[in-house]
Amino acid sequence: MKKQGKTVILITHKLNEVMTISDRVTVMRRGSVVGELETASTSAREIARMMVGDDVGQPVQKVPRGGGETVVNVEHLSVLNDRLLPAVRDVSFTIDQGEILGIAAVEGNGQSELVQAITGLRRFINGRVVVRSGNASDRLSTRALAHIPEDRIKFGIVLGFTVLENLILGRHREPEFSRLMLLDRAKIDEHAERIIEGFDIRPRRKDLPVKSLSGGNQQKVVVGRELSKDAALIVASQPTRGLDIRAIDFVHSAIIRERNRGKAILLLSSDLTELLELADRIAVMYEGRLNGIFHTSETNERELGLYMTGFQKHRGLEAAQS
Amino acid sequence: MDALFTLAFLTQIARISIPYALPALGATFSERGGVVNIALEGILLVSAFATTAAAFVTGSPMFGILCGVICVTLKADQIVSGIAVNLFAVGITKFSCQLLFNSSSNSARIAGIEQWSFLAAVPVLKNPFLITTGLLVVASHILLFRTKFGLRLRAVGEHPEAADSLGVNVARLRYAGLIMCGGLTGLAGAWLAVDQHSFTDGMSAGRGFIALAAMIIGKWTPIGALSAALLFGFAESLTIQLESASRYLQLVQMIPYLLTMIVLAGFIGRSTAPASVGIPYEKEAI
Amino acid sequence: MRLPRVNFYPLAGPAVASAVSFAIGALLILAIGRSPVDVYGLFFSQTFGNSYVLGQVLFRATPLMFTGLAAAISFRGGLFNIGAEGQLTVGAFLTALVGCSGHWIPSGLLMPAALVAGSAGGALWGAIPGFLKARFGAHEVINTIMMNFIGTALVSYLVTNVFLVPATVHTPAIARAAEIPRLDLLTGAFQGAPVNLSLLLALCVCYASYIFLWKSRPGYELRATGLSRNAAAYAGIDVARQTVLVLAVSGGLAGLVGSNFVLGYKHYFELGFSENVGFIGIAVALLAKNHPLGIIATSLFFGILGYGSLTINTVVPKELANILEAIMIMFVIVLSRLVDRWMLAVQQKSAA
Repeated sequence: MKKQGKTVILITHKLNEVMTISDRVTVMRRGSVVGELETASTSAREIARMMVGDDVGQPVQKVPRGGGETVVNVEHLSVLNDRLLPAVRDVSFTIDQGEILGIAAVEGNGQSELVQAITGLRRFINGRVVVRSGNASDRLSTRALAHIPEDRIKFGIVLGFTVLENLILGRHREPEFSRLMLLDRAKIDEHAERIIEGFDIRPRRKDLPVKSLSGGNQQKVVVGRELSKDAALIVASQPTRGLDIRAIDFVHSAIIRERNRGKAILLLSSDLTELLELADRIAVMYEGRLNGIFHTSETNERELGLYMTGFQKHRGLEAAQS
Repeated sequence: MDALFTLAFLTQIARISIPYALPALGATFSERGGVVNIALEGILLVSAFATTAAAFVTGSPMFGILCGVICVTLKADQIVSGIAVNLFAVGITKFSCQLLFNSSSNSARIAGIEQWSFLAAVPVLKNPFLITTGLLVVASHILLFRTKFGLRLRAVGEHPEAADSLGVNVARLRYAGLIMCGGLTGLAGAWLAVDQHSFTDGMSAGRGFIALAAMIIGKWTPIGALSAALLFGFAESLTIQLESASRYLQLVQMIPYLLTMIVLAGFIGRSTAPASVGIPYEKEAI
Repeated sequence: MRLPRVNFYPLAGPAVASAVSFAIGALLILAIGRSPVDVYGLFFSQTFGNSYVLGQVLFRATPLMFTGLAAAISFRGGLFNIGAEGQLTVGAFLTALVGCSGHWIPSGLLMPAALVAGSAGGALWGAIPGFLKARFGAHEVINTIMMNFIGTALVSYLVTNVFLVPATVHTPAIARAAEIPRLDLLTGAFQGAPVNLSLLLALCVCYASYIFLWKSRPGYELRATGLSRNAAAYAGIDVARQTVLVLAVSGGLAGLVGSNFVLGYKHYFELGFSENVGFIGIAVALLAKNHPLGIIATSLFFGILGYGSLTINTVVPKELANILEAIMIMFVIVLSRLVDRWMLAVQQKSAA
């Protein structure tokens, strides 16, 4: 269209779109223009800085990992979807300590069902999931597992609850928070304040209904609660969907920090850039099967795309299933 | 046994079944359109009263019937408002009854309905309500399953979003389902009043809920609803007829309710409600 | 420095709803050619002032606290219990039954045993629809309605055919040991009014429900399930079990209604004693926004309405009260949605 001599105004928060398409960029923040730049003479980071008003903190760097022991072992997992059709077919993989395994797949290729099965929200028809020593199909192991669910409104938070109440969701039975049948308000207060402070949840009020928070802060409630759990395995589904740059950055740093602390992390994301940035290995799912596992350093968006859409099949699986 | 199946017995079944069948038919329409209508009971009561009140004033039962139907454009909504309508019906009928007839429990006597003399040869059919009920069931079946309106109404009850995206006006169709429900239930209320020649307080006596049961057991279809209503009517008539059994009348009256629960639990063939029944439809805000 | 603000917003909806219903009531009174000022004047002057009247109001408020709580607990748990009427009938009947036939129970335990029996009967009557919902997905609204009729029919069969005092519609009288003492005999106040110690029980149960809902772990799980079944499952809560539990607790509360009428007043069970308190409890809960402590206030309000309507019966039919109640429910459900939306907007503004 530009070649036809048309003027195009592109409004987006996706910086790579801006960088590849536009000639000039106007950055707005809180209803007013904060700057106008030539695309060729600026960088995504600079635009990001202008958008959020201060420097987006340098992301936490991944430390090289030594060979940790295996935390989760998924073997020959098969799961049905809501319509009782096979959604996950014979999937096997392992995740080690201090490793982020990314899952890349086009929506509807079984990745959501896979996550639900691993986190105990969906029964599986075959195979098993072993988290360290406990079995994840067993509800008791919710403690061994932190789960940032794909759809936070539907699963991750109770919209009608306050921030405080949401910060103990799923952890309310831990002896730390409940004695006999009563909730220990003082301990819960302390816990909530710690997370609100540590994860920068705004406004800093634990008694507000969580639905009055912005989407990014709601997500921080979920991320904060789950990451403060000290579980061996963290399952994060679309952890940054719908967030602004600053929040995305925050969540990314938090995930990497947990990785560096030796957690095993299963990361599901529809954003390949995010996967390539965070994951150590990336598994591609296609039609419910694993269609390749790659070391992040040895692959790129283009290659992942070919495997996600089924144009190329099976790579690196033998090694992973050994 | 022969004595049981006399004309009187059949007439009694019909008498008992009509106020079950008509509201059940009505509820079929409202639920198919996606609205749970537990206000059947209240509508029945109000229209029975309106029938007697108007008849008392004008002396014409037919006008009362009309009035009963109109009265019921009381827009009935979902469960809480259904309860409210039921409470309101109890209050307003007694209140008005006190004012008009100087007694909160009984109205004055009203004229019965004219029998249709041209059908005198077949006594059971002399009752115009009976014929009307039969015709309405057939008409409802055709309307619900053979017309565009019926298709749209059912679509709205199953998947309002999809229906909406195809340009069907969800609110209007639900409203139509409710008005039909109100009209049919009103007719039943009129029949109650005419049959008893007066209004007594609380005369609907749970029939609205039995009708709801009949609709569920009839699996949300007009013919099913009629069959269930006849079944209930038959069971009740039988108990009344058999004097030795009449002390068990209260237990027999439990049958429709028990049957409904059993059917809902899926023991006698799956009976599934329209998918979106009871959920108010709100367009996504853009 | 910001002072803690007391939040009055939640009261706006109910207050407006009450005002509107009284206004519509005034129109009704005008329509029949009476003066609303006179009628309401009579209404309020007769329901306040002396301790006999207060006793009457409290007597009427007591069962409403139980049924109001029953409705509120089920709403909080995300379920709709319209079966309080059946639950309280079955419960009160069992209360009377234990009261009059429990000779083998030590006399000091007879009254508690009768209460437990009533509560258990109500709980069972609630748990059945709960189970059917959890196991088969059968809708609890329809099933609680059906259980109302089954309960009433069963109890009326038992009363008329098995446990009847001839020429009446009530059971034999309970043993003296099972009676709950009237307050006028204990304190000298409320002379002649039937209010009894079960009022104290009701108040305690209201407070206990408040603690249960907001301070206890099962209460937290109940509310989480009520607000989001998906999130509750995510949090490891057994949603099916909750469904049975909520309706059982709700029914158990309704089953305590017998304490007031059977143990505290008439000392027998009588068919049709409840006068719709099961349904009015829904209004009580809605007006209190399902808050157990609010229910104390709204029960009193409906108690006043119920007793006040008797005092004006000479001027306008007492059924005016039913009409007001119904209109109030209508407006509460419509208005509270609007007010809540507005409230959220205000909070979001202040949060931003």
